[in-house]
Amino acid sequence: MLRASAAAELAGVPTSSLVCEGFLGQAASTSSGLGMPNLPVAVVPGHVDTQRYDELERNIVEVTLARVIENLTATPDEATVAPEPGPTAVVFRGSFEEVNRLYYENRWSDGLPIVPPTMEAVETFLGYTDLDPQHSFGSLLPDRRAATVWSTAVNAVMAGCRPEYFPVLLAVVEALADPAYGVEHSGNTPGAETLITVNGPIARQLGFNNEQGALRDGFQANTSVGRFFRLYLRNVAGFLPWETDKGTYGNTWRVAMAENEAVLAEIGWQPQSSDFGFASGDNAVTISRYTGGGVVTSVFGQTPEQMVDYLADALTKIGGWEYVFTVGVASDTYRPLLLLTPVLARAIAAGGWSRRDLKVALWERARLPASKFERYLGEWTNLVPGRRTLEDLVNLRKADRVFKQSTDPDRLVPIVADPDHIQIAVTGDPLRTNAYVFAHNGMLGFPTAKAVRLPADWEARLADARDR
Amino acid sequence: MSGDGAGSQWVLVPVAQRRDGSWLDDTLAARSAEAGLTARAPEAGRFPRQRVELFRGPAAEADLERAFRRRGWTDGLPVVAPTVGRVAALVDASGRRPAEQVGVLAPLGGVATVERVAANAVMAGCGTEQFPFVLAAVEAVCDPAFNLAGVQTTDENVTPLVVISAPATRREAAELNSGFGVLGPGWRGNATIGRALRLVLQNLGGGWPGALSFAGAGQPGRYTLCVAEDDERCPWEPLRVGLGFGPHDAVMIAGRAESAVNVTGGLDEVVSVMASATSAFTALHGGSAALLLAPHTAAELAGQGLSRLDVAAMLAERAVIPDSVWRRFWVASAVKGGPPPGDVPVLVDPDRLLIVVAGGTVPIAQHVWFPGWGFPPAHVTRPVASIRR
Repeated sequence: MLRASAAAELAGVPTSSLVCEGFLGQAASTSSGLGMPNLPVAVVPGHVDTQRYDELERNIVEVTLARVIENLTATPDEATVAPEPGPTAVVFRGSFEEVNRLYYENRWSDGLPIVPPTMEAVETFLGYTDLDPQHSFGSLLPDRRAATVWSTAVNAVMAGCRPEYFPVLLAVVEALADPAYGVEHSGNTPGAETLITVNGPIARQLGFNNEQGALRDGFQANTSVGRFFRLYLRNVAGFLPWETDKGTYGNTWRVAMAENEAVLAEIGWQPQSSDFGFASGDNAVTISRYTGGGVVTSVFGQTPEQMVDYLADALTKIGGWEYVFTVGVASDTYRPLLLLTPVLARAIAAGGWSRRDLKVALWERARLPASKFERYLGEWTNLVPGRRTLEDLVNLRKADRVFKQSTDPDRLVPIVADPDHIQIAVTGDPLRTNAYVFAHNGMLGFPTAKAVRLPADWEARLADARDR
Repeated sequence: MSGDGAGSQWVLVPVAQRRDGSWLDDTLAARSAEAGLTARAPEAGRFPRQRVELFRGPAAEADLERAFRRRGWTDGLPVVAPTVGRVAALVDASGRRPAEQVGVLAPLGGVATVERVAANAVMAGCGTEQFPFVLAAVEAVCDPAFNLAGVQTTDENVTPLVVISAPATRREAAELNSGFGVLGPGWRGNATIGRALRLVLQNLGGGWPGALSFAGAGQPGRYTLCVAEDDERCPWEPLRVGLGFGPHDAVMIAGRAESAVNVTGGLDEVVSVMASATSAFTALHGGSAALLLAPHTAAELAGQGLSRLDVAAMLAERAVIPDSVWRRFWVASAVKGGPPPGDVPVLVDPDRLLIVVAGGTVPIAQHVWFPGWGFPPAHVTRPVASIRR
């Protein structure tokens, strides 16, 4: 929030940001992070979405308008931003219990005990990259801190990672800092949560679980890498609940996921990372933000044709308002994810289907009535204002022609414009016929993949780490 | 405190940051050094820039006391350690969120969050029952009408006057005195609510003597100045009802007092004090002032059929500084081009006189006149929330 106002003010144009009452705290924190703690805000009482028009008008005229005029006509006070302790400063010395209490009270922790990030522990992690500790992948909103190798190591130690995970964590941070991912949206109200996928031989080398319980805690690599991501969002990007993080419900962080690449190799399919320029055998991480997920139990059938309807139905049902990321808000950024267990993937491949064949078949079947799609856009929500029909949006060239193959309101339209927008990964209990679907948060956490860069003497270091 | 080593204290850092995150204490340390005022706070600005701080070991309490005093965080009297648990108890009872902003305090622009106000309230000795009164007082002094920047930095000796109008249940629960010795020691509510406000003005607003607060002498009321209206002996409707609140509401009214002047006798004697140099500064600004009226006198006046406003009107009409006297006062020379000829009324409007019935029932009535200070004339009222049990 407030980023447009900050840009306008930078360009010398006075602004007044209209902020609903429940968001004032977020506005105060966010404006500080933008380096403009003096950004003028005009409060709108309550929340506009549930007010009658006469109530809204009264609120605006009686409360908001005067502040808007004041904000646009008065010069805000000069602002400066206070320096923080340096990134390598030692802020405390104490026992394990004391360090944990301090970190929790200062809101540097998620509520579980952290491993104290001592200089020694941080240095050990830094030995697992050839990058300079001060190397930055970019700065992260809302607090605009630099995403450095150093801060990655500090949060990795805290999360309970092992030092040999460090190359994976650096790739995660590099993806997080990529503007395509959109880290600045991490505090939005749907409160979606990111899933990290690890591909390549490194997943096996580091002991990531890719079999039964693939999304469950209980495996150090999956668990601590997932926790690391949340700590990094908290401590470096600066997302704090009740301030910059307005997730209405939120989620616990997701454990990192690894694909079963042995099975992929066996059936000749490429991994999830292949959708983003990588190939089988490449070490890569993909981060992507999902609003929610659900298991698809007991997929039954002898052929892919017999299985695909059920999977397509699950993909359709898991979405709803998220279809504004297909048509409407940030169109074409919806990237749902289907997880198949090896037994299902093998059966589909045995039917002669490639990964791409499966995507096309899902795309042809994962459909819903146009009238219902339109309700998500602008009747049950106000996410796409103007009550535009899909037909209108196609005519305005804001939607693909596939959304207007007839004018029948009950015609079926797809959940994404292009079959390649459906992601597929293979993981989970090898011999159970279940699948899993994730609804995606569109541009607010767009899938972003990065190569895992290993240090020159990786094999030796890895052997060293295993004996540690 | 449970935890790590006997006596260890986890305490909230009770000082403020501005909206941009900078700490007031850095400004205060610099100003104190420039002004050669390092004796009071030789360790100004030396503290961890964090939400909490740990004092360890069996001497933790003494170390904390010494550190807080030497950092300039106390009023010179011992403070209660603002431990995480004590502060949380106050915040929880208030039903408000720790990071919620109560106000921004002049002159240095410190953001008063509920949690930081609570830390100062704990230090002052407040419990959960007193805390909502402190929050209301902080809200009131942050109202632009109060002109806190002026109150904090003026060379006059002014201090906020906290007047409480509340039903008996709230006064009893908060241990507030409205009878004998109402301005004196002995009652937790009056002692700690006023003291908490002073600590907030120092620690969250930056009102350090000599560095940013230029009051020539200050006054004892700067330790605490908090009075509760005596509902039971007040012959008129309670102040809060006149201000549009219900009889069961609790209300806090913040005024500004240059001093507290004892008056023995009746209205004639009150007028004599009002029409003296004591009130000249009130008159200069057409200001507002307060009078603590003895219950006995209030009963007599009401018996004559006079309302509270009638009494205020009588006083406003009679309390006039004669032209010949006024002209010799120093303040008259502050009027641009010299004062226009004529007698000068202390109060231009009887509404600007806050009459509070309180004090003991003694045969010879004792009143207290609180001359006002500054511009704009204001008594700022805030409702006091109930606590969550």
